[in-house]
Amino acid sequence: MQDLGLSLDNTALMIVVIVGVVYFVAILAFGLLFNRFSHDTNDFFYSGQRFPFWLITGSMIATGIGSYSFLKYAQAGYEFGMSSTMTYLNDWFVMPFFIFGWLPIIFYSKVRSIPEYFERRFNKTARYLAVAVILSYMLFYIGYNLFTIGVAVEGITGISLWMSIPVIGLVLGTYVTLGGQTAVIFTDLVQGFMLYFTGALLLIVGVGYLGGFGEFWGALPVTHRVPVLTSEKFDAIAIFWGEGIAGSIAFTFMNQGFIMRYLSAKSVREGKKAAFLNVVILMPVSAIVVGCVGWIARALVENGQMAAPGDTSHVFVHTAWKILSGNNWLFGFVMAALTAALMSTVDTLINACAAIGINDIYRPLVKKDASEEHYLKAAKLTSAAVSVLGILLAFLFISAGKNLFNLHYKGILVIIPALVTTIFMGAFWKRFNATAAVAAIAVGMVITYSSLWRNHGIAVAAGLMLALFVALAATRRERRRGFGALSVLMAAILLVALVDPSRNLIQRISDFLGGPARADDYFRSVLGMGMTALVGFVVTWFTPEDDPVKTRGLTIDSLDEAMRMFKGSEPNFEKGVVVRRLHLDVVEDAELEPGLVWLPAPVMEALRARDGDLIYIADDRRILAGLRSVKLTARLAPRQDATRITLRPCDLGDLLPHKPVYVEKLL
Amino acid sequence: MPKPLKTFIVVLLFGLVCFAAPRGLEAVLGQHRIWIPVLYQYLVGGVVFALGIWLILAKGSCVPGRGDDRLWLAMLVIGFFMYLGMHLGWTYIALAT
Repeated sequence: MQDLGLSLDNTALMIVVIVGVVYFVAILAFGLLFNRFSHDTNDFFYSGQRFPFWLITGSMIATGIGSYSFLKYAQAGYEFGMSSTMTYLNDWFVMPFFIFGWLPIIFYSKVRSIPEYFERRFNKTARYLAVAVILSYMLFYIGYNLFTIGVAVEGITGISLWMSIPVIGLVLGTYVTLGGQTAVIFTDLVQGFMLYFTGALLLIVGVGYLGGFGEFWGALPVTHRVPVLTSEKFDAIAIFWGEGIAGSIAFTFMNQGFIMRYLSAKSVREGKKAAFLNVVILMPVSAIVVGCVGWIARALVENGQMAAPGDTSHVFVHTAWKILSGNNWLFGFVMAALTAALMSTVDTLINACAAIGINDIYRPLVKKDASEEHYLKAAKLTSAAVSVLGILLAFLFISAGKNLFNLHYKGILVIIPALVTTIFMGAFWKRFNATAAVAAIAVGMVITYSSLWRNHGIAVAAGLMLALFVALAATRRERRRGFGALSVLMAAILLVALVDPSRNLIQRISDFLGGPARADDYFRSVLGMGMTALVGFVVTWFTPEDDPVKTRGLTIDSLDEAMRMFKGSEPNFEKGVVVRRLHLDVVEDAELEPGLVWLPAPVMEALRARDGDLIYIADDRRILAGLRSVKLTARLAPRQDATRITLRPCDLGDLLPHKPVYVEKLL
Repeated sequence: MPKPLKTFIVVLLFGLVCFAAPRGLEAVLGQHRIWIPVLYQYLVGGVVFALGIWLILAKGSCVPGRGDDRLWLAMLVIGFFMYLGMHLGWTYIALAT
């Protein structure tokens, strides 16, 4: 505590703790309110695919801002200025691929996880390789968030990370285990607003402390004002490749937590709106919210109003305390926000890990035909186990040291490239086959990991793989061409690595792309992606094409087919309007089959709907945000009362029969 | 043209842009180095973005005239220029004040 310069006496510390505990209990209670809307694992993990875009977008604020974000970007903001926003502001380049490619593919093909996509698109081996990589990726994030909140707690209270992390992790694990995706979304929505409020509070108070915006801006060196910077320690080109390309694709294509959030939308259109608003509005605001404390800290130091912090990883806590002038209540609120950021990121990830645990491991491999109640219980137990694993990982980070920025990139950029590239190629290249996918993931991962030992590591890995592929080419006659091609590729890599072992291959990539003299961590992802893509191309060209029936609806070429399979009939693209204030007739009528809803002709006309179209029916009270809603198939009603729609009791779902509803055509 | 050859040409051209962009910008903007990273980002990122637009149109996942695809396509392009404008404006203000 002394090294931070905070002068919290016992009363102040008590106030900070009280605010945090009250906040925590309030969020816990709020989250549990939504527990009753989880009837099965589909509700528990995907909220029954019923929410509008604004709820998805709003809840993404808190999911996208982890506690590490406040600490890491405040540190980056202090050291490198407004370039700290780069990570948040370079996602647009991959948006076409997501909005018109990956999002409709995963939504219409009804996949529940990335590994499931891998099995349907490729084979079982690809699926379980994906399970291993994605679980590593998400567990890394959970551990990382727990580690960063431990750093903050240590900064404020002096309590050791070894003590605080298990306590926080266990409390958090209990909370997320009790909630489901619906609880996660609603609590994240509330916490998101709290985070923005906190960011605005710190920015306004900080700028005021400096004497106004002019003083704040004037105190910053020019290098700290520009949004995209290359300096000795911060290279924009490296960040562009590592974050803007590899990181953005990983976050939008591979992050199971975000994927599940999009799958909670009521339609692809709502998912597109959520993605659009997220990148256009939320990301820029979030970039300011998480970075502004660092900018203010730099201005304070430049103005001589604050001593330069010795340990820049504590710059957030240190500066917040300084600009709030020791106001215990406000500082307690800010620390509660830091906890909120942790909770909202980790709850999503724990839920996502549990989804993979149940959908990709437990259900297909351990217990195939159990009841939904059984799977729900298993999901909750998995959540608890994931929390414990996250704590253990956080302990590893303590041993690794506290350089947050580098630690984050080292882990993520080694984990993601092979899988991200395979997802990308699988979604956008129909010819890419299962053999190529498995080879690309395996070789891509081995080369990326081995590059940690520079060219020597790459040479050893390529040499070993060369021997393996030559042996396989000699013994596996049916795949000789594929293994032969891989052998030639490995020989080429071995040669490149051996020609000049002292010159790092990653450095050559960096030089080629105009990167900095030392940029291993960022360009490692480029090496991994490039190597994976190369192996994918080569093996695909030398092995036979997969059965085209297998890839139907799973690639960008066959989205029309995916829509037809999703709906069960031809999609209807005619634009209709939403019809509000309708009343429900809930009847057991032999003529009305389960899953259908009778709509009167004027309503069908207003919706521009035809028999067989997919219809969304929701409680008319907007504040419920689709919480009480169902999706049914439209049929023209035999009776024509323009204000009433008819459905069977078994299709009522969470709708209340006496409350008015609105209807909307989805497809 | 055979598909593998087409793919090879696209990859080669992309590699060429990635190689030429930093060197070209350095040669043209040697005196104003601070602009290089932002222009590099939108030059190379712009090629990635353009490849994405070309792909979704060529593969038929975006069909202008079907549903609201045209609107989404327009929003994607506008969003790109909005980001470009924001970063250029921000850099200009940072240097001018």
